[in-house]
Amino acid sequence: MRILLFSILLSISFSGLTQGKGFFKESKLNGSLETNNQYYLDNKRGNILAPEKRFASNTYLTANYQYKGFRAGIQFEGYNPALQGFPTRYEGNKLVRRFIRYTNKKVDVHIGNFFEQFGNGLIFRAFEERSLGLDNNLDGVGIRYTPFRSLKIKAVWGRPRTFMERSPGEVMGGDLEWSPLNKEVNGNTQLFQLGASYVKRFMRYYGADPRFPQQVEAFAARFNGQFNSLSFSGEWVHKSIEANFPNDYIKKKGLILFLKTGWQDPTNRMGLQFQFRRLENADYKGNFNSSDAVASINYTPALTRQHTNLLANIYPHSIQPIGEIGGMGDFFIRFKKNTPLGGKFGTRVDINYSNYHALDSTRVTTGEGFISKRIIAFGKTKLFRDLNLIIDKRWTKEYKTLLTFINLFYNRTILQGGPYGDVRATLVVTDHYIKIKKKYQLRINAEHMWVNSDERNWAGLLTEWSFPNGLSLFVSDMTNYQTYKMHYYNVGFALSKNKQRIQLSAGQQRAGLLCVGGICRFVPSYNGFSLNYTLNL
Amino acid sequence: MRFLLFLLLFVPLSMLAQEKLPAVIIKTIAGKEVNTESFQNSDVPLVISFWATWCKPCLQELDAFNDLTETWKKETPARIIAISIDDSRTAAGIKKTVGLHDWSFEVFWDENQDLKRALNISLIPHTLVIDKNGVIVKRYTAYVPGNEDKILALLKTL
Repeated sequence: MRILLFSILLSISFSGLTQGKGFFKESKLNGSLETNNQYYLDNKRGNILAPEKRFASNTYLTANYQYKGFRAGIQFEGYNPALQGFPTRYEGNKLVRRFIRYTNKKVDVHIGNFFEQFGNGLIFRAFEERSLGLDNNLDGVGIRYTPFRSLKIKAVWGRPRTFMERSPGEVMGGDLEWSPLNKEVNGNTQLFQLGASYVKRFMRYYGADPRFPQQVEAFAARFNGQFNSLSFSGEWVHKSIEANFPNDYIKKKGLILFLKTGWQDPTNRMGLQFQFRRLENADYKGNFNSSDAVASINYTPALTRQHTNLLANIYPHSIQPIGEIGGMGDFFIRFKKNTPLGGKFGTRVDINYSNYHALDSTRVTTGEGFISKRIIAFGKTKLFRDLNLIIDKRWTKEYKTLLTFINLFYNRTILQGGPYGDVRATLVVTDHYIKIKKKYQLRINAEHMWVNSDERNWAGLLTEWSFPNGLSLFVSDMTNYQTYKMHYYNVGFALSKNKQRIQLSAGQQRAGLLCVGGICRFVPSYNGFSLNYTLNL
Repeated sequence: MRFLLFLLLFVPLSMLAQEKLPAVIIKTIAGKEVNTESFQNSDVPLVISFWATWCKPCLQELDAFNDLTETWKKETPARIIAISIDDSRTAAGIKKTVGLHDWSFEVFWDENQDLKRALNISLIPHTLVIDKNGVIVKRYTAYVPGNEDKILALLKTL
């Protein structure tokens, strides 16, 4: 009903204002529809039974309207029921987002549901990632104020979204960013910024513990700089005692330390980068009883390479917010055209390494759970390591290859939770792009992964044909041929036409990031048919 | 049912108003803030492509644009802008990717996806062609080899 009222109001305000000629010129209106539907089938051989409701559907409808500095928008979501892999608490149809916003040169005020980020997001980030079922927008008020070019102030107050409802927890915070240096010298950026944030969460506790922390406060300080080819940044977050479901309600302070530095040759011939991050009781929850990433206040993603192959995503790092230390290093070199290593079209070499350990800590019997005295010390428990190399080479105008090599260590016991042991895997991927008559493209992606345990070795193959009319056909299969001998196949087509895209596929899907039909998206596991449609209005 | 009512009301409305680029603050790769309003002051058509470091078809599309830069310069004054939607998970890779691919066009960063959301983009790559008056004349969802030629043909008419 509310959505209908909103639409009617919107159209009335439209018709009332359309009298002025300038109105249409200034009005900006857009909307979108995205619907992902699946029909599930049993696979008796693989022991995958379809859920009771064989049809599932996630639908998102949005509309944004802008008139000069004013903006208003809505988002409507329907889960009938939610797709496999999504939390089941996404259910029913509801107007989940509505906002009005006013922006001028100095002030930006957001009332209703809004998204915001302080610094790197380590202390606060309200964002939406539909494909993963994440949306922790705040329902309240958000303000950005820029008194001078070099100073920016942000303030937020509201309740984070938890599935279709609001969290009982309340969040408020502020952020200050000062840029004492911000100029261009001979085309080079010289930038230096300092920032500080404060975020408080309050949620009433009705249990028996008189010392349960209902209020949790966090402070952060950060810097960011760029001098010509050199860049560096860092952030430190301190959090007061927080007990929540994921940390087993231990009463422990939180600490996050993040450092990043990089150098890149001005002519882009080569570059280097290092990142370091330490997490300790780092999960900041909008609702202390919430079990997963839903209703988190902050964002501490895995800092590893996001692989886009079929098989590499079988063993992705899943961060351990309770305690983790490690980092990532990147190096690239580009061999120019018409050089011995570059060949006629140039060669790109990209090397990436990430390594994470548990903290060096001691268990204690007090409510704190554990203590970790030394800040920069790697614990004995290895969590994840990934060394990978990508060589990107064009051989002719029509033919290009990508060769990927990955060697990884995955502590399955900790990362998946269970007595599974360690996984060591080596993966080789060859990706071939063949253009035919300039317009047609054939892509063949062949992969093999050697694994010492778990489901042992895997093989994967993907082929995709793209046609100039926007059609693409794809067939892929991945199989753990040494153990269960399951085939995770996928066959289908996608058709893109300007503002619309439709994709129909059938198969058995392992959860992971899948890149086909010109699009990359995360897909949950299912066996059956899938129909996705998007439209921009 | 509600969806249908909404669509019935919304679709005619959306046809009345021209779609323009909303004014949203995004960043340069170094972290400097830029208002997208400033893109329209140059009085030339714009091609804006949304991409991410982990999106292979996006990289393919931007490489195709890059290969054609010289040809495009001769035929149209259009400005090409690539906007990354990587979040802090993969943002460190933006600069590296730009370097590795040696792109000659401007690259920006939509850090918390404010612009992507304001334009209701759900999938990438997503490319907009915008005329001199700031009106979005075409949207391309997904990349199909050869799109770059269609875009060039369209730019010549703007």
